[in-house]
Formats: sequence, C-alpha cells, structure tokens
Amino acid sequence: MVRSIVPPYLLARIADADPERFPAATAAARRTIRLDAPRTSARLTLSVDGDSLVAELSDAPDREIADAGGREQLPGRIVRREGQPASGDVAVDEAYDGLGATFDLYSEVFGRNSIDGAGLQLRASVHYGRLYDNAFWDGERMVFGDGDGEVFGRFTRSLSVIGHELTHGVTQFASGLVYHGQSGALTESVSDVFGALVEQYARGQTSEQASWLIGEGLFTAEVEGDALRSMRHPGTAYDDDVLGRDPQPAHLDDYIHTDEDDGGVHLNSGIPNRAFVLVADALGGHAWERAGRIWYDALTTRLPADVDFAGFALATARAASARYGEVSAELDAVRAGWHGVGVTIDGGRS
Amino acid sequence: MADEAEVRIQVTRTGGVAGTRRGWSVESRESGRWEPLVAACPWDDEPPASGADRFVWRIEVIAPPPARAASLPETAVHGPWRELVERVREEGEPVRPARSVRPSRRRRPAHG
Repeated sequence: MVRSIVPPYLLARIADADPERFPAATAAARRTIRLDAPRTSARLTLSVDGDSLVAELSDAPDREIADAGGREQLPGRIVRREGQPASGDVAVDEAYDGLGATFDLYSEVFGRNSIDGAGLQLRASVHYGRLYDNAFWDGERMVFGDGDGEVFGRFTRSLSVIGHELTHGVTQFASGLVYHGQSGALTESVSDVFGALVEQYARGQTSEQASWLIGEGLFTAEVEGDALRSMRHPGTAYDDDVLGRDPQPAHLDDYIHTDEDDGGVHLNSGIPNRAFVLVADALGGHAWERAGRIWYDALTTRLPADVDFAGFALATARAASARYGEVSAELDAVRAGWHGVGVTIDGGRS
Repeated sequence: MADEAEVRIQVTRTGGVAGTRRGWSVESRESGRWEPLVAACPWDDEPPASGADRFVWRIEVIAPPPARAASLPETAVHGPWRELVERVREEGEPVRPARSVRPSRRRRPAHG
C-alpha cells in the first residue's frame, strides 16, 4: 500500500475520469479541487485486489507551520508547508505531526474534512512570545509558546493539547458556543474530549488503557504534577508550591462561580469531562468509536450558543438515541454518565 | 494604617489552556515611580473580546486611593497596561496559591 500526496494536475485528471468506473475517486477529486483551489491535497491509497489495481482517494490535511521567532506578531515566517520534510526544529515538527494526527481522527473516524468540514488549511505558529506559558486558538490558527522553562516546557510537546486547540476551531465552525460560564466550560470540555481522543487514536488505546490526562509532559521536572487536567479524576492533576492544587470540580455540586478565567471555563470543564469518561468506561473499547461519536454528533447538531450542561447532556442523549436506538446500552451509558456528575438529562438537578 | 505614599498593586493571571492561577503583588513607598504608570492606564475602557485559551488578567490598585480594578483579556494588555503588569511581576512577589498539606519534593522555588 502506497500513500502519497496527489498533485493538482493528477487530481484534475482523476476528476475527469469516467465516473461510472471510478465513482468514489472522481467524486473525491472533484470535491478536493472545488474546496481547496488553488492549493489542493488529497491522499491516494493504492492497493492490489486480485489482478486489479485499486486507487482510493481520501481527504488529506493541508498544513502550514509558521515560526513567530519569539515575537508576539502572527503568523511569523512560514517554515514548513504540507508535504515538506521535517524542519529539524522540534516545535515545528511536533506541531506539523500533531495537526496531522488531529486531522486523521476527524477525517477517518468522524468523516470531517478539517476543522470546517470543507478542507480548510490547518495553520499553526510556534515560538510565540518570550517564555510564553500558553497555547491558544486565535480564531484562525493555533499558537504555541515555548514555556518559561521552570514550570512549563514547550506546548507542542503534548498531542492532547494540539488536539485541544484544533478542536476549538471545530467548535467555532460547528456550534460557535459563547466562551463564558457553562457554554464556555463545555467548549473547553469538548476540546479536552477530542484532544484526548486524538492521543488515544494515535496510540490505539482503549478507554481503560488511556491516561485521560490533558497536557501530559508539559510540566518541567520541578513541578509536582502529571498534567494540566485529569478527565477521569478532575482535581488531581497537580498539587504544587507555585501552581497550588488542581482546582477542577468533578461534580455539579462543586461548580465554581467566578469572574476569573472567563467565568471558570477551564475549571468547570472538569464536570462534563468526567461525564464523558464515565460514558467511555461504561461502553468500553475505543472511546472514539461510540462515546466520541455521540459527543461529535451532539457538537454538530446546532447547539444554542449559550447551551448549559443540561442542554448539552440532552443533545448527547438525543444523539445516542438517534444513532443507537431508544433502548440501547449507549443511551443508558450517556444517562448514567451525566447522572454521575449531577446533571440530569431533563434539565433539572438529579 | 497605610501611609499616604504607600503603593499596593496586585496582578492575577487566570485562564490559558492550562487554566492555572498566578498572582504577583508589589508594595512600595515610591509612589512617584508608580503613579504615572497607573494613571496612564485606560481604566474605564471596555475590554475587547478574546479568543479561546487566552489569559485573563485582573489588575488591582489597592493603594494609593482611589482603589481601581480592571479585568482584561491578554489581547488588551499592551501599552501602559503591559508596562504596569511587567513591572509588578519584576519588582513584586509571587502570590502563592493554596495547596494540600503535603511535604514538598520541589528542590527549589520557581519564579515567574
């Protein structure tokens, strides 16, 4: 089996081929040309079936990595484009690979071609700012700092964080949730869920095998902590002199009301995070197959911009019911998962 | 009683993808050095909207009066705001957050 990036002239030829004989390939090629012009990429898979050569064309990422060079101006200098070899700069290459792994999860598992579902170019900037302790999504690109070297190292080091940032793009296109309070905490949680799934999919891990940690490996050895967050056990990721104790609640009873952090979006995300892990654990196996599918369906069903935990829980129950049936292990798991963190599907408290 | 020349300013950074809370506080008797910096900041301006995982800054002047406070996305922390925040971080002390009572294995304190 050969994987390669298809040049535009070849895409055009495939698009013009006989659609009766090559329906999938011509459709995919036309779609790619239409959406991505003038720069196009697709993945061509060649295999031999008996005595015939089978060509399959599938979506492929179009990545562009820039180096901000320690400044706070975006995007910086473009240093690696799709299909170019490794640059030798570890942050550049981690971002490139992480964007690819994230594209693969969305494309291969959920059938979504990039963050907008229409092949949008994936852009990232690395080496942003001086000793900058953060990674963020600015509405158009992912941006990664190198860390201060004392608490944080470089932010590209964690695949779950790269998946987290890219998922902010998916949420922006799919739902456009308000980044404050419960809808903001759901935005954060959805980024953690799919960030974790990117990592699990790349490693082939089951729910049971997975760490469910977000940002593992970002802290320096000086910090007493494993990661930024624990989805399975919110509030236990770190306990440190400089950072204090991981403040995430794991249950609606402990919801934090605050003006800080856009209304506690990175704190209260612990509640829906744990609900997802409870669902994934109950169903077992690979979390992206059923729990992830349900969450993806819910995210892409026109949620109200200010949806709260109960509203999102209802969307996941509807998604489970629509895909797996009203009497199904999946719907039972979803109900039990939300119940486990104090959220009832009907909108009230449990 | 705080004497008139005393300056107390606290800055707190929350949010970011890590969602950690970091604070720095400065106390000084050199109000002449600090007051022009504080006065240059646009305290009454409406802060702009920000993107996902950006830092949120809270800047509080406790003394001298009048007490002032602003909550800003990091995209708004430039110009005089940036100067004020950087100087508090440079000259002030970190505000240590609460943690569980447990022996520390940290070898040396980190700065930041």
